[in-house]
This record gives sequence, structure tokens and C-alpha cells, in this order.
Amino acid sequence: MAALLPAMMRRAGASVWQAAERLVNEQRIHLAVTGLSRAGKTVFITALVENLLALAGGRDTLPALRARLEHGGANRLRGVRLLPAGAGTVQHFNHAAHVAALAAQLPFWPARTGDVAQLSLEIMLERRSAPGRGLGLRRLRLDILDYPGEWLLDLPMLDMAYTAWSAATLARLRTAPRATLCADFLGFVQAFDPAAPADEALLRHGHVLYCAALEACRARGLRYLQPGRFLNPGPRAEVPFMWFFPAAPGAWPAGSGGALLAARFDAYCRDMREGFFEAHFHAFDRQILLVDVLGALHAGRAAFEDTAEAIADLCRLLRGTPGWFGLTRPPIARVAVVATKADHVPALRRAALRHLLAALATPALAGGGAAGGAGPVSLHVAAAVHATRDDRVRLGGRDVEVVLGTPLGEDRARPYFVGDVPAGWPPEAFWSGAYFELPVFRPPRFEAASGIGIPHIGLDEILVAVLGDLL
Amino acid sequence: MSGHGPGFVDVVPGAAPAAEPPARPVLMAALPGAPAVIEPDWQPALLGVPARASSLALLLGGVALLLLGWVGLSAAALVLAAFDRAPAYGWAAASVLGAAAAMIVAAGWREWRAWRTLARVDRLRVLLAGDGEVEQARTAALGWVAAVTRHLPAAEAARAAVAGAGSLAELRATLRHHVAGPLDAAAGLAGQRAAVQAAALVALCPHPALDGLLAGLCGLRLVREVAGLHGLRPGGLATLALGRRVATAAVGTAGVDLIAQGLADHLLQHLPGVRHLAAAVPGATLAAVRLYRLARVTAVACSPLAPPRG
Repeated sequence: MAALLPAMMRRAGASVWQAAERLVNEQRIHLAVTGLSRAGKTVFITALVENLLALAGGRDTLPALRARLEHGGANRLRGVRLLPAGAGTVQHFNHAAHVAALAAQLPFWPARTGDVAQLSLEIMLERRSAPGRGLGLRRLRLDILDYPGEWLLDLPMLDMAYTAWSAATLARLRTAPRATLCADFLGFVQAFDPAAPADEALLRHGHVLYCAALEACRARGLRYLQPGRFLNPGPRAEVPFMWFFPAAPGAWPAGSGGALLAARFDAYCRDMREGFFEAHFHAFDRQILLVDVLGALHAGRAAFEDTAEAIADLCRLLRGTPGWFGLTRPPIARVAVVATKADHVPALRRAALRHLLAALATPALAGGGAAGGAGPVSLHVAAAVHATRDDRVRLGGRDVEVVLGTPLGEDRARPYFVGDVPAGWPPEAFWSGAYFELPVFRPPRFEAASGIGIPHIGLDEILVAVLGDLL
Repeated sequence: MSGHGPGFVDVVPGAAPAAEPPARPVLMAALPGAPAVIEPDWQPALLGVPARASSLALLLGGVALLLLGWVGLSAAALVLAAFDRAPAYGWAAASVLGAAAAMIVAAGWREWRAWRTLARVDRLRVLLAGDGEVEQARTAALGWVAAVTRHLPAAEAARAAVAGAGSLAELRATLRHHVAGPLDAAAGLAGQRAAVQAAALVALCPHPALDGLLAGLCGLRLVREVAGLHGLRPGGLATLALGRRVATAAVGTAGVDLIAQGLADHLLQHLPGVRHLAAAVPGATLAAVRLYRLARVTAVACSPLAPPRG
């Protein structure tokens, strides 16, 4: 026993020392990356991590961040490493697989985000002050959380009763262009009697029709779609509480179809609150919100206004607007709202895209300090992977600025003229054009082990805006 | 009107108005000769390791200062002592020391000019690798073209093409095609000549231990020759700096080792002198391959189109 005592004391001393060292040198930050579907969340995180690793390897892949990290002309960055997955309960973000997709012989875009996934990085920095350097390297542990933005749109549902939610949702579905896209489901709801005894097959049929209607709306560019998990179900797609849909409001007896739908709605809300909002949403310190502004613009007026409404709600939630089901959280320290796919726009027109993003987000940012870097909310224009090259071609008898890219599935590069990008809320006359789906360009050739990062637009400025005060 | 520059539009009576570009997005058909894949114009610069004066550098600096101070003070004392003996003797001593000092200053001036030329190439390299203003890069590129004019077969065309480049990508492509290409070919020829020379010297060398020394001397001369082709005139110290760049470039082009055997075969096939010597003296091929490779690597190190150093 006497012999064991010194060993125990040594272990205890080492633990205390490690804890003190962590307290002084380690800082943990939860950075959440989200966006409505097709905004490019997964590829954004992949490019961000790959370029951080390349920067640590001695390549100037993120110039604005490198400038922020310089002190007295010397780079303070001493290393970046991916932390092992450990024994976490959250799905691991498979960075290696996403890099492999971009580095394939015929590169392709990584699969879309279907569930919450996390990746942890450690950034090692030298302190600015000479006395501080005596304490050793600072370690910034960055937990990057990737989650579908559609799920956030479920937050307003959580303090609503099923009947109120159904009334609001059906009213929305009956407006153009949703009414056309959801015609089958609206026809079903018209004939459905919620007061009748619950018929499992009928309820499942209604649920399938509602999911198909939401999918059709999403394909048409609409973004304000609830519940978000019907579009991005995650791993538990077939649990019974998911099988509901909005029905005509009323009072229903126990055992009726309407009562079962209401019970499922309540169970869904409870699961989202406990499984996502309370587990993850409260932990975010910093947030990057990706928005496919161009896609929404070319999808037409309804899609654009729908996106604006969704963005406004997301910004309000992220800034801590009180009210929803006691889930008010303190404001996130910094939020970056990013218009993605900037490589579809020639460099000369990107300023207009940023102004358009500002117009889209302005209702939600009132008083939020959207000065583009300073203040808690900043606006950016970015492309996580720069897949095009600027060029000029003759069009309609004039030289116009275009981007040159190889559309996915084709074997020759084609010029893409982005058209007018309004530098503010689009005027009435803008909506006269037909719906246009943004082309998807093949990612550029990239060697996974080259250590030179991934070509991008604006990732460095986003990192400075979101993490600059910690560096 | 070009469509992107500001200017007045004079309305000609009866003429049809110029067509406006469509406001809606258009994915056009592929143009003739369009590439299959868009290669990214992505060359992130190498970041340097923060430099701090090492103990050895401080030691050498101290010793150099001590020696220079000692020499300078001794010279002054010598002149003063000579004037004490006789004015004519003093003037003679001052003249001798003045002439020596002038020669040292002239050598220093040459070194400084060589350093400036190296720095100019480094600056152009950074400008070409960045995404800043094309104007600055074009001016620097024209300066480089002027320095290498006599080694270019179509210097005037190269100068005109560089002056007309409208973007950094275009400027890089123009420099690669009109300037770097001919200089690289000339460096290859210089490498072949040096390879034959080195092989012959190694064959004539009376002792194998001297092979390395001979190859080293040939290499030094070759580095200066290739640098001269690229508009650099390195002196002694500037050659040392250039040597460091060559070493960095050699690391960057480590893949060359993989094709070393192919290179040796190429040399043996195309340089009959080396082929005959290789048959008689085994070390001759190795020396020739090293010299030829050194020429290539030096050309990379001297070119502003290589990725910038930190």
C-alpha cells in the first residue's frame, strides 16, 4: 500500500497538470455549417478542412486567414490536424471519402447532407506576446457540425398545435406555384375525413403523397418546406411518428385518423426537440449559413421569396429571437451568411451577388451589423470549389463576361452567361423570364495528396469573419 | 463599343441599335477547341519558415565585423604612419589603399546588382502567382523580357505579346510560350554541352576521387550559364543564393528522379560522345546525367513562372 501511494500521487499530479494545461492552452469552439438543400454544405466543409490542412503544410491557400495569423511578419500557425473520431455519439463527417470523390478520375460532388455529422480539427497557434509564448502553443479545437438547414425550419413548429400547423401549412400549399405542384396531395386532403376511424394504409398513403409534394416543391426551387425531416429524414426515416401530414382542422374523437396524426405530430416535435435542438442547437458558438441565392433567383419569384422567408426565419433563430418553445438560446457570437456558387458568376459581377444576398437577408439582419466582416453577422460570396474560369465570348453581337465550365455528364467545357444579377431586391420586370436551373459544373482536377488545397473563392474571408477574434 | 468599357454611343440615323445582351442566363454550346476539363488557375504560394538569426550567423557576423574593423583601422593607421614619415610616402600609401578599396566597392556593386536582378525575378514570380493587378505584373514581365532579349529568337513578338496580355492567366501563358519555352530549350542545350564536357573530364581524370570535384566545378559554371540565359548575372554571393533556389527547385521537382533512367537513355542515345565514353568509363554517364538535370533544375529555379518561394 505504501508503495502504491507515490504512484497514485504521481498520477493525480499528472492529471491536475494536464487539466491546468488544457485550461490555459485549449479552447473548444462549436462551428455549425448549415444551409438549405443544394447550398453545398458537405463540399464547403471538405474544402475548408483541406485548405486549412494545406495552409498548415506551408501553402498560402487561405490568404486572408494567413494575414490574420501573421504577427511581426511571421506566421503563427504551427499546425492543423484532424482529430480521431473517438467514442462520440454523433455521426462522423467522412472527410476522406469526400476528398476521394473530388479526387476521383472523373470527379463528382460529394453526396448531400442527410443527418447531423461532426468533424473535429485542432489548430495549433503560437501566442502573439513573448511572455505568452512561454506557456506553449494555443490549441483551438474546432468541432465542425454539418446539419441539414431544413431541420432548423422545424423550430417554429415546436410551439404550435397540430391543428394550427395544419391550417397554416394547407393555406400555404394552396398558393401558387405550390397549388399546382401539390395537386395530388390537396385532392387527397379534400377527400380525407380526419374524424373517421384511423386507417393505417390510408394515413401512409397520405404521408407518401405529402412527401412527394414537398419533393416537387423543393425541385422547383421552393425552400420553406415543413417538416424538414420529411426531405432529409436521417437514419430513422421509417419510425411511425414520421407518418403524418397536414389535415383539415377540426375536433376529432379518440381513435380517429385525425387524432393519430396529431399524436404523431406531437411525437415528431418531441423527438426533434430532444434529439436535435437540445442536443446540438444549444452548443453552437459560431454559425455559417449557406444560401444558394443564384438558384433561388433563377427559380422564379415564388422560389426567391420563399427562400427569403426561410433565410429570415433561420437568421432570427440563430440570433436568439425569443419565443419558440422555450428554446431561445443566447445569440451565436458570429454568424456568416454566405451566397454560394460564386464561381457561376464572373468576378466583375460578384459584388452584385453580395448586394443581392444583403437584400435577401436584410429583413432578418436589422440591427445585426451586416457590414461584411465586422459585427456578429457578416455577408459573403463564396465558392467552396472553384470549378470554372472567367472568359469573354460574343453573345447577341456583343462581348459578354461568362464563366467556362464543364457541365456534369458532358465532356466539353461550355460558356455560361449568368445574365443580370440584380444588386438589390429584384424589380417586378425581372420575374418575366422563365424558370432556369443552374448548371452543375464538374469539379476541377484535384490530387488528394498534393498538399496544395482546393481552389476556392472567399473561404478565407469567411473563416476570418467567423473565427478571427479567436486567432 | 467593346461592351465592357465606358464611352459615348453616337446614334447614327437609320442604323439599327446594338443588340443588348440577354438578361436571362444562358448555357451556351461548347466553342470550337473547348477543353474537356477546366484546369484551375490555382498556385498557392509556398509560405516561408520564420527566419531568425541563428547562433552561427551571429558568430560569423561578429567575426566578419572584427576582421573588417581590424583591416580598416590598420589601413588608416598605416596611412597616418606613412604621412608621419614623409608626405609623398603617405600619398603613395593612400593611393594604393584607395585603389584597393575602389576595387572592393566595384565588386560589391556588382554583387548588389546581381542580388537586385534575383529579387526582381522573385517579385515577378509572386506577382504572376497572385490574383492582383495585371498592370504591375505586365510591367515587371516586360522588364524580364528586356533582360533576356538577346537569348530569344523572336524577341519583338514576345515583347508585343506580353504587352498585349489582358489578364494574369494570359500573361502567364504568353510568358510560357514566347519566353520560357525558348529559354528552357537553350538551357537544355547548355546542359547537353556540359554533360559531354563532364563525361570527358571524368574519363580523363587520373583518380576517381577527383570525379566529384570536376563535376562540381562544371556544375557551378553551368548554373551561372543557365542563370545568364535567364537574365541573371550572379556574382559569388548571388551564386550561393541561386544555389539555394536550385536546391529548392530540385526538391520541388523530385519526380525527376523517377525518370532519371529514361534521361540517361536519352542522353546516351542523342549524345554519341557520352555513349562512347560511357562504354569505357562507367562514372561518365552518371556525371553527364547529373549535369543535364542540373541545367533543367536551374532553369526552373531561374524562371519567374515557377511557384513562388516563401
